Formats: sequence, C-alpha cells, structure tokens
Amino acid sequence: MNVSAATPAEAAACVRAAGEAGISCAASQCGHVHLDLRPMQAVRFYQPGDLTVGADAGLTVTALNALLAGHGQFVPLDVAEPERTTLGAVLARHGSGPLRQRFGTVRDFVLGLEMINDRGDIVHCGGTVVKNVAGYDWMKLMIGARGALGILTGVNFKVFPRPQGIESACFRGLAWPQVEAIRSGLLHSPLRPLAIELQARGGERAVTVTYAGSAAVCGRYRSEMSRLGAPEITEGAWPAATPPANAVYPPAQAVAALQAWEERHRQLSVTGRLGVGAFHVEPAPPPPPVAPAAAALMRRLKQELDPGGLFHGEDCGLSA
Amino acid sequence: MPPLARLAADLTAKLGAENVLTDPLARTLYEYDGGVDRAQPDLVVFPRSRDQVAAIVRAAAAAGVPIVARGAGTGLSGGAVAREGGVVVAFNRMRRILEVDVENARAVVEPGVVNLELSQSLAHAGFYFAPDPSSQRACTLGGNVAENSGGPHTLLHGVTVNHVTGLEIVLADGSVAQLGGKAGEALPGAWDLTGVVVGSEGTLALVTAVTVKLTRLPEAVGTLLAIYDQVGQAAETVTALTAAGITPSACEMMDGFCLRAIEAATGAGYPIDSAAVLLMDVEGLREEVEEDAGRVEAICRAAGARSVRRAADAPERELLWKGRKNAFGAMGRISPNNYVMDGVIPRTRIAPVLEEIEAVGRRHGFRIGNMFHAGDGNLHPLVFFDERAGELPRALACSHDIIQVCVAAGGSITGEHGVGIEKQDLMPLIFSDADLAYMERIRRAFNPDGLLNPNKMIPQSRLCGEIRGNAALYREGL
Repeated sequence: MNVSAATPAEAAACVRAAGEAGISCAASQCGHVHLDLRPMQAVRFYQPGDLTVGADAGLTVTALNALLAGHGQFVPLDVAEPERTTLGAVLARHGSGPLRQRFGTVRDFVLGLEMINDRGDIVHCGGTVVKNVAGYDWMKLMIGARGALGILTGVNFKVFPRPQGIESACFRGLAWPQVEAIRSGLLHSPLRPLAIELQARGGERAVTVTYAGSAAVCGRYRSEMSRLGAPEITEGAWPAATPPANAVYPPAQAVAALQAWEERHRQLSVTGRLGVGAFHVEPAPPPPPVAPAAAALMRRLKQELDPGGLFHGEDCGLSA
Repeated sequence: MPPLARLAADLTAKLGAENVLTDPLARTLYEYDGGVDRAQPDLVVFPRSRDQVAAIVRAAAAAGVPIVARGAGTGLSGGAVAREGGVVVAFNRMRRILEVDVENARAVVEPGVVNLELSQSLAHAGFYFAPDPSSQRACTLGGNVAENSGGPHTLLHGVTVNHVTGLEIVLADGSVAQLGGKAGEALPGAWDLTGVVVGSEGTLALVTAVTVKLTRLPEAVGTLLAIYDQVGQAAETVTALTAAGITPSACEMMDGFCLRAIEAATGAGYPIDSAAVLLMDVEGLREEVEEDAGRVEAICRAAGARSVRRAADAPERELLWKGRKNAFGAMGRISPNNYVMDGVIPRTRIAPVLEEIEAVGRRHGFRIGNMFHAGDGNLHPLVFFDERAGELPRALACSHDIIQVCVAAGGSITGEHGVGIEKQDLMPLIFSDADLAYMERIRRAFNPDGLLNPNKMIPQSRLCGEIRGNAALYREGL
C-alpha cells in the first residue's frame, strides 16, 4: 500500500496507524505500507550567514543545492543521481561521493534530525547550530541504518562555501604499486585535495586528484604533483559521482586488497575514494563480518527502539 | 560484610591495594571536576588494562554499585562526579599509545592518554590530533570521547566525533565490544555505534581504547589579531568572513574586560585599551595562507578594526595564543571565583546576544566577561562572583538565564562542555518530552540497570522508576 505524506504530522499518523494494525512501514518499497515522503519538500530555514539550512527529508539533493547556489554555498553530497535522491535516502544509506575526501560524509555535517519513531512520535536530535553536544547523538545511529529504526522526516545541515577555481590532475596507465605511491605521496604532502578518485577496469588504472584555488594555489598543486608522475591537467572539472561504496578498507590496506581481488576477477571494475578507502567494486567482495558483540548491541537497540518490528531495515529502493 | 566493603575487598584482590583508594581523605580528591558540583565516591580504582576494567564493571554491577569513569577531571559539567556515589574508575594509569599507524593516518590509544601528549608524539611524523580543548595539557582522550570535546581549532577541523573511527568499550554487563576500527566508515547496514558512544558522557559504556584519525600538520599558519573599539565591529567581522567564504581554522573573540586581565597575567601583547579583539588562524599551503591572511585583514578593516596585527613568526604566534590558552587562569585577577558557561548561538547573532547577556548580568548584579569561539557561535560567558560572600546560588541563577538567552536566539545549551549534572535540568529548554523519552530508551539499550554514571544528562524527573530506582536503592542500602 502506498501512502503519501506532506507533513511530519501526516507521516506520524501513518506510522501510528500501521503500528496499530500490526503491519510494517517504511519510506521505501520494502514496508507493507510504503510511506512516500516526496511531497515533503519544504526548506524549513536557510541562514547563509550561519552556513546552516534545514529541509524536509523528501527534498532532493539537486533541489537543495540549487537553493544554496544562490549564495555560493552547497552541501558536499555529490551522490549519484542527485536529481532523484532525497535527503532522507542519503541519510538512510550514508551516501557520499568523491568530495568526502575533504568534507567528510553526511555524518560529519548533519546538525539535527527529525524522525518518526515506532510509537508514531515525532522526535528530534541535535539542533540548528553548528556546534552542539546536548544529549545523545542518535543521529549517528540513523545515518546508514537504512530506515531500520524510524522514518526520517527532516534534516539540518552545515553548508559550505562552494570551492572556486576547480582543477583536476589525472594520472593514467598506473600499476597497482604506483596507485599506492600516489596515495601515500598525497598523504605525506601538504596538499589537501577535494577528491582523490581511483578508476580501475580490466587492468587499466587511473587516479584523479581534484583541487581548487587561485592560479598560484593550483600552480603549487601542479608542481607538487609532478613529483608523483606526469598527470593530465583539466580545468573546471568536478569529480564524477560513482555508485555507492560496497567495499571499505583502512586507506593504506585498500590497494593490496583490491589487487588481490583483481587477481581473482580479471574484469574487476573499481571506482571510489582512494584517500579514504571506500569504493564501489564489481564484482563486490564479501562484506566484512560485523563483530558479534557489535551485532548483539545492534539487536538490543532494535529490540528497545522498535520492539514491534514496525520498521524494515532492508534497502530496496530508498530513493523512490 | 556490607556489600560495599565486600566490593572493596574483591577489587583490592583483583587490582592490588595500590590501585584501590578507600581512605576517605584520599577520596575527597575525586569528588569534583572543573565544574561546581561535588560528590564523594565510595571507592576509586585505577585499572591498568581492559580486562581489569571489565572485571571492575562485572563486580560493581553484581553488587548493584554505580560506576563512573574519570579522566583528568578537567570537565566542566560534572560528568566525572559520582553523584550517586559508587566506584570511580580513574583511567590515569591506562595511558599507553598502543599504536601509531601513520600510513593509515590512525592511532590507537588508551583512554588515559593526555590530548597534547598524543599530538606531541605524532609531530615527528608530521601529524597531530586536531581537537584542542583549552585543557589539552591535562585532559585525556577518554574524557574527550565522553564529552565530544571541541576547542578553538574545531572551527575548521571538527570536534572529537569527527576524528574517532573506532572504540573498544566495556558494556554495563562487563562484556567487551569493538566498535568500528581503522576504516573510515562502516558499510550501510552496520550501524555507527561509535558515533553514538562518543559524547554519551560515560552513561552508555566505559571506553578502553580509542582509534583516532591523525591530521596532517599544515605547511603554513597565519595568525592575526584584529583590534576593535566596539564589540559589534568584531561580531560583524565574523559574519563578513562567513559571507566571503573564508573559514579560518580558529576565530576567537575576547572582550576588553577579559583582555586586560589576560594581558596582566601573560604579557601576550594584547591591547588593553580596546573593546574586543579577534584572534584568528588561517592555515594551509603557503600560497593559501598568504591569500587568506590578506583577505581576512581586509575584511577586519572594512568592519572597523582599529588595527590588524599579523604574527611574523612562530614565537610571535605562540605568544598571541599563549594569552588565549592560559586565559582562564588569568581570570583569578578579576574575582575570587568565576563560572564558565557554554552556550551556542547562530553566529550572525553574536552582537545582540552579547548585549542581552550583559543585561542579564546587570540584573543579577554580576560582571560578565566573554572569551569564546566566535567563528562557530560557541559562547563562553564568564560570571565573576565570590563564593565566600555566598554568591554561588545567585551566580548559578544568572548562568541559567544566560543559557535561556542562547536558546531564545535559536541555539543550544552546550557546545562542548556537555550536559552532565550542570545542564541536566536545562534539557527541556531544547528537547520535548518525546525527545527525552527516546534518549532514555537508547540509554536503556546500553545500560539497562542505570548503573553507568547515574543521574546525568537526562532530567531525573523523566527517568523511569527502574533506572532511577537502582541508584536510589544503592544509596539506601549502604
């Protein structure tokens, strides 16, 4: 059953009704009740001088960034298909893109969250200001939990000045040890790139470093990077979004792990964040097991926060 | 044997007599932190390993005794004060840096490691730990994790939670869990439990090891001191910097009242005839610092700065920061006692809010000083009072009204000091009953018997009978 909600109160009423009827509910196709939040697209506040914005969870990333662009600002959520990905979906999936090298993931710049819990109550965490340690930060629990504990209806972000003077340097035709040398070289350099992206497919490997600044700053990047190889420079190119990460590693272990996986899968395709060790890999390597003690803690949290099993934790099309 | 004496004997057998304090006089040293609340613990223990922490928690839980973690005791909200008595677990003897993994930009440390010592030990490799609370010479990583500590340079780099990728914790039943690790994130489906435990003020688990991100030391840092004849001009500068898209790595404001005391104490070279100064760092590549310092200076002058000084070299930079870092010690020159508040407001509201705070002080008969993290709107109003003259209750009432001013401006009751005891009853100013009830359920999932740091953060009147009951029963059973 599909139900549309245009306000948090409507969404809360729907969750309560589902709870009373004993049927599951999700902001995706996986609940018996599919709560469609796309009508919820209000911008709740935008304070350019404070670099803060709050919006309904049904707003798309593209719509939010179109608003912020008017003040030269943005949320660095360079996820795939931003025009159809809602803010709620980004949070539920812990979505991120190449720019997380510089800005971190959504975990690092969400200031506040509004959610419908299992009792149909509208609950809030955090606030609207950029620094805040009042109460438990259960926003972290919801980011990446794929809707397993509640329906996200609103979010407040810290926003950033959009970098000016973008340039990228692409190193092509790399062997794996060269890929690792570039990663390590950048780590030990004074450079702070916006993105460090690896693309590998069928034995061809390239690393693209994106940075921004004045002519003098970009010149410095070029000169530092000439020590790591002979990259091809492109002005004005933002890094391309990639599919969501399905393989994460400690950064210095990533190249060895990917190389070993390639030896088993010659047609391996990899895109992702070389600097932080998060990639989309085809075919996907088996996910690392969740440690038993952490898994037990997750079950206890689920039991406490959704004892009736109202919310599904499966990802089946959250952007819809 | 009464239960507490049995627990003391049990822990003495497990840890050795040198790691257990039972003497009442010795225990008085552990009855306070940097704030105003006090309570004497019944026992103080000094574990040396994770397994000892687990054994302490198992024994205390079996005896129904509260368990309160403590680092250096520099916290300002009563987080490490054993409000309901019980066992204080002091982590001072778990202070090993277990691993420095430069290639992954990670370190694994025990909770008793001192914040600044960690950064100093990384300097040779060109890295440091970014969060820099004012107490960083003494405060511990475990305390930083518990309180999600900030500091001046978190404006650019983020607070503790942005620099922690993994935790080893001991749960309320004495079991051990590893959350996260060296990878930058968990895959979707594995929840970010690390992020929930950071900032939970010792109420969800005891932390026995922390995996932190290391940050590359910048190639260049520019330090600027902008001097103003009006506080409003300094506040205007903060807004103008934001509008220009400049993020200094730190942007601290000090008012003239505090400046004069700091200058007398430290000789940092602050102008004693000004109304306010901004102390700012810009960092990055040499080229970036040159450009940003020039832009910052121009913006300061346009906002009305009387003059803008730029530190010529590292010693001059350190001198300018020495004043700020030692500022709280200098406040003793103004009055016998001071109460440091911690509130957050939208940074565009600094000028009007400071005026309102001054008016609140006048109403209560106190002088208010201000030195704070202006760049992120994190205010630290100082209420100057004299405890011997019986002024503490009035100072607390004044502070309460100051926090209400911050909340009315759209802010928060705490930006980096935590809730603890101090702000417990202020939580309803920013959270609804439903919000607080949800926090209670999170606490119950981790800490079902309520023995981990009881009667903190969530207002007591809200706590369900079960959780309130155990701590109360413990006291009655003594």
